[in-house]
Amino acid sequence: MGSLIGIDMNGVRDALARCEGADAPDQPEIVDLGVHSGFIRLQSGDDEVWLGGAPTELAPHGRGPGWGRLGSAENRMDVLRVLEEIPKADSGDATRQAWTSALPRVVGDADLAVFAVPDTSACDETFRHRYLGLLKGVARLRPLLLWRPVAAILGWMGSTAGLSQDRPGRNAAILSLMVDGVHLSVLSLKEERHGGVRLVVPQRSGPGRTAGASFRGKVLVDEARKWLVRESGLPDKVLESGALSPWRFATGRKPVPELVRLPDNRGWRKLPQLDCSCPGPDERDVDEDFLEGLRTADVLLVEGPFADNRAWREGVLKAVNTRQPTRQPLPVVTLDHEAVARGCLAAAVRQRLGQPIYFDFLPQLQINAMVDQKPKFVDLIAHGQRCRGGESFRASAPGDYFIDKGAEELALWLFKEGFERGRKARPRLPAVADRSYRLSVSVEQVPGQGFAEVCISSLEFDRLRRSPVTLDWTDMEETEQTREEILSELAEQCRTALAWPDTAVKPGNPSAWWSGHPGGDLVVLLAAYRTAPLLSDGIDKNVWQKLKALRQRFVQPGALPFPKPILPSAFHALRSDGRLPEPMDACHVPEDAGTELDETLGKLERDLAVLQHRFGQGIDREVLGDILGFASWCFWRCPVRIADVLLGTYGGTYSYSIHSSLLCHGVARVVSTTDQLRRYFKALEWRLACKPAMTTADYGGLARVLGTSKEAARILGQALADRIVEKTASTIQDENDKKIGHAYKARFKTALRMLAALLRHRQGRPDFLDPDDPAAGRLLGVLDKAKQRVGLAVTTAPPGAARRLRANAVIIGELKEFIHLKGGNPNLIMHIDALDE
Amino acid sequence: MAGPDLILLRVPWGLIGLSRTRLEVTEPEPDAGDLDVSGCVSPLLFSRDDRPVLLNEDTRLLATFAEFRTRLDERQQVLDIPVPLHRGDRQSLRFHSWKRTRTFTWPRGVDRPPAAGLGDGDEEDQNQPGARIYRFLRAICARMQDFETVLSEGLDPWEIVPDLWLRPGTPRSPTMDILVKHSREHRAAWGDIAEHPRRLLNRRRELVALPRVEELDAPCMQWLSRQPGKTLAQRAGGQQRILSLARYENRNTLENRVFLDLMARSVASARDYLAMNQGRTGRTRLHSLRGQSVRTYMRECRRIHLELTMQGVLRQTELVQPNHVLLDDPRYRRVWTARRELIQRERAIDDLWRWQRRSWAEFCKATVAVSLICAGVRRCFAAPLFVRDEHWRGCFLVHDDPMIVVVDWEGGWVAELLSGNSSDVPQKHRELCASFWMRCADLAGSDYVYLPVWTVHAMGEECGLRKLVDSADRAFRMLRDHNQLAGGIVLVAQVDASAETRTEKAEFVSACELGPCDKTLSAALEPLGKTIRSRIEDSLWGR
Repeated sequence: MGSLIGIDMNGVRDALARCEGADAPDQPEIVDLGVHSGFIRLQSGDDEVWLGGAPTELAPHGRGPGWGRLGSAENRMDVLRVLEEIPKADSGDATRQAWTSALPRVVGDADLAVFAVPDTSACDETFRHRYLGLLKGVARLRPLLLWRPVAAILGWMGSTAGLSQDRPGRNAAILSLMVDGVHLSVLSLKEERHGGVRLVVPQRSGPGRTAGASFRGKVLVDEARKWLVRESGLPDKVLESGALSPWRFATGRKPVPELVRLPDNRGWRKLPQLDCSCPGPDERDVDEDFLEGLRTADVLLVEGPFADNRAWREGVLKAVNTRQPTRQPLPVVTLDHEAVARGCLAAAVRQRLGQPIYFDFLPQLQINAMVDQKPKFVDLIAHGQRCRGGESFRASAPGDYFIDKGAEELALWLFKEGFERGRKARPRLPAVADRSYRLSVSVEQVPGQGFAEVCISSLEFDRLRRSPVTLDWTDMEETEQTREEILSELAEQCRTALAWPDTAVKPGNPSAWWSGHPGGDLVVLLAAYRTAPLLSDGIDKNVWQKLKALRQRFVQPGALPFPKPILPSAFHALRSDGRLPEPMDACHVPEDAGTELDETLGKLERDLAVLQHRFGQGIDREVLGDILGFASWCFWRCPVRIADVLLGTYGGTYSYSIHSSLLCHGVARVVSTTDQLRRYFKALEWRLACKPAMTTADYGGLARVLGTSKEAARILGQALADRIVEKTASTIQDENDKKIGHAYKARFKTALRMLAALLRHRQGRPDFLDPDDPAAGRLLGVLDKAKQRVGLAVTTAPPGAARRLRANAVIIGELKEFIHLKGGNPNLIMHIDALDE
Repeated sequence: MAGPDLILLRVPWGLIGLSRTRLEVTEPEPDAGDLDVSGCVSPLLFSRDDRPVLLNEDTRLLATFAEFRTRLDERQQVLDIPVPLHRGDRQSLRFHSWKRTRTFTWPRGVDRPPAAGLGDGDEEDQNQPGARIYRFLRAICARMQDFETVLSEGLDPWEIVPDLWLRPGTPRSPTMDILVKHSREHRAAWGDIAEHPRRLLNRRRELVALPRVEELDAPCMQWLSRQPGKTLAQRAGGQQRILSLARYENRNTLENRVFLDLMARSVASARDYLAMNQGRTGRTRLHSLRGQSVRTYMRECRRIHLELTMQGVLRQTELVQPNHVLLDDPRYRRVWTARRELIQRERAIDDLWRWQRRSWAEFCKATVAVSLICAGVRRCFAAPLFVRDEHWRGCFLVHDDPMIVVVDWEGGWVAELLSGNSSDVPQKHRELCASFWMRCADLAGSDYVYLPVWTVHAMGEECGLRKLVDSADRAFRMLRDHNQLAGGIVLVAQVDASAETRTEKAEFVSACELGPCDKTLSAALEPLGKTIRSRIEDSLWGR
């Protein structure tokens, strides 16, 4: 088993901590990787070999032209410069070559190497993605990035000084004195128990803050070099490449006499001992946000490559404290320069033991999806999602994703927190979709590492399942559009691309409940029926009459006598889903109508039970007809026992004597629950098995069920669906063969309704009625023919018929669009219902 | 008329010195005898052009020592000749334009002692010249391994190694070796093989007591039928024994013989390793385990060796054509691989013998660097240093030029340690055939002065230190232009571990005889540093 490594590679003062395994991390081996370290290219040997770490500090490679070929700038690559260039562009081949060659020697035979990265806006996901890419190119290296403040706090907790102070519940502010400024992060300490061990786990709940400008450590280095230039009289360029003293001075290391080699005669020059004053940072460069962070903390840890320079450290603290004079200064702990490397190692050990390293939050990520058939942006990663650092977070996108037949690519938009603009991806599918498929979209991200990985796969689409598409944020095209613009564009696309219409519920007529109705007050009628049982010694004629009256009122669609006829006459006392009608103008349903109706239906159910008890299945056809007639016209309100009689008789289980038309239509009116629907379809299959031809009544009933219930088409069996298609095509064909004066009336309307409702079967079976399917071809053929005939007839027909025919033509056109998966009118069924017969 | 094609340099400065320090090698007459090369303390071969020269009809056997151009821009080169393993071994040379080869032997050469695995180390005659040189080489290896151990701990070699060399008692880590790897990986596996070695079931006919007879074949029955008597008991005779098949387990199979050989080689190599690492305790936990694990491994191997010998397994000494078991059996495949690695280690030691002069030169270079640091000079630049897992033609260290740059802040001078073939050394100086150079300058920006360092490892040849100094000094005086030179240093190998370090000084050249062993080295570092320092300061300030 290899060793574990924690490495603080900041380019100014690097350090590495190593231990042989997770069991003995107490005494880690600390390796100083030098000041202003870099990678150097060795000249001996044929292969291009690069080297990093402490030996490079004293190596003459790249130290200026005084060293001849060895001193050429291309023989040295500063780590600092590489880190600075990562945000600008992907690392070039030379950098990759240097890192892959040099790093294995630095880290040795390591199982896991944890690298510290600063928690600043400059070190964004792009930076981390590229940095990880660079590190992953190194053979046998398994890198993990860790926020520098987290590493510092872990390093502090591991030290003896920190042991007594890492009390859970505290907030620690970490001030990192870095080359590009002073970074501040505030972490809270949480207590977690893991495998019986008490652990203090830092939690990061916000991004770090930076104070740049005069707080940059680079200022310190530059000042020192300027002093050297003045004192030695040597050009700045020579000192920049050849002198380490400014860096040693800035990082607070002991000064040593230094020698530089002159470029002109290759002679030597001793540099004067650095004795310059330390510049003080300007407190005006600290912004309010930065101070806000400090106010929440209980303790301030100061670390970073420049923290050992006492004058600089005190200057920074003074500048920070000056801005908040009223507040008591925080207790300050200065960490040694190895603390971050030790903390990284502690993180590697925790990772190995499966313990939580720290808690982090992930930036919000949103993607477009279809929610209730409307495009919306949904959260792939919710805002402020907490997760364990170093472990991958996985989630699936809510909402539906489909690809249509013939699709070669997908269009997806992603919005990520911290990025102003969204990005658009058009990933190509591994194969052209041969039908419509459902897709799944999932996301995976490790906090503090690179970008989130969005993966698109499909359980149904085999090729896509085997090679899922992954979206790469960096490759995605940036888009100017806002979320709203994208959604409206998508909604536009969706509108023109429906595969099936919505179901339609026939509205009810509230005037049927008007107390001044010519047929009498319905509430009173309902109450009147409940006065006595239907069966006492024999059938009570009086009660029966009242039942007949009720049936009459519910069956008969009433025109709206009051206040004016605003609705077509064909509306009933209840909506076709059994609910009471919506109020209309001044006319509304009495408040107690619902309870009256339910009580009456309850009484009706009890009457039926008594009848069943007395007569078994031999109940008088007339009486039973009235009971079923009234109950079935209450649609989905129909009591269960009565629905059972209808379904049982329809499916051949019972042998009640019921008029066939009432049976077929009645049963269609009452089925509502999934179980009833299943039973209904089973019964229909049984009927078709007994009697090969589907009767008009069966057909009409089925059209009603499919067009009203949202679930029905999904439950419908495949064979039955195919059979209905066949029947529909032949019905339309029959209509086409009729004389124009008799054709395209009620039967045709039923067929159209059936066809429209049947398209909803595509929900569960996306390839149903595929335009290339022979069945669909036949259907399209007969529809074309019908449309043609209707179009011809319109000119010669009388005005009433012409209006009907014109409406028919429009509906046929819309139906054809739906079959071609380009439907546009979701309310098609409602429109068909409104057709004249 | 052009000069001779090849010149054998009896001393490194042979090209510039008196004519008797050179031996011209010309194309031989058809029946010319062997060339007499006695008196060569540093057999370097000068070739008048840069085309390859064939040693034993192979162009790859010679190693480049230095390359330079004449004033007429002709390329010339000096090559290193490897030392044969045995005194009687004949070598041949051929210039590219020759039709015949010139053969030569080393009549005063030294035989390499028997290979570690083959001879019995305990009986080795410690006073044989070969054994002494072998110990000397091992000491050089140990010095180079000091660099390896320091580097493997991530430390600065130029801070730690001088300390180790000056104070031999300082704890140092045992070296890394293939044996350490074997002891970690295979110890359990060998025990398993020794407990259940692969065996063959052999049958042979012999007289077996009647109750123990299990199997008869046709010849046995024939034998039985010829015995007198009517009943079986009568035919079995007085001792009641008949001829029958007896089964024997045979463990003396090829794979077990190879395994035994591996054990013997491992024991010898481990002894060799432990001798080299005597007194090293280890500075890190992992390192300190090295010596211990090799010791345990050696004991285990010796036990297995005895056990196998008692089981009748003989040792395989001749060349092995691996059988199916050695190649494909998971247990024995490890045996085969381990044995190959061990033989490779022995070969590396053979190779070290051939290139021992180069090892000595490299050791001297490191010693000069260390001695300067010990003499109070500060190292201000150093090329990163690597130690090869195995030497390449006697060289362990890999580094760029200059190896190290030292500065004397008080004396006000800087010196760079350059290799003998460095491009930073002017062409005309490279003819001096120094093993390495020191390029010195003051801090005021004056011109460089160069200090050549010649290394001499006279295997079996008589070489008095005084004689060498005088020879070098005479050669130096013969140089037309030695303004840029700061004299010369000759470092002579002290093979005998018990001998004292000696120094000699002439007008231009100083010499030091030193050895790599703990005692002599620590004593030599200080005088050597002083000698070099005074040479440099004399030349810089004395002009």
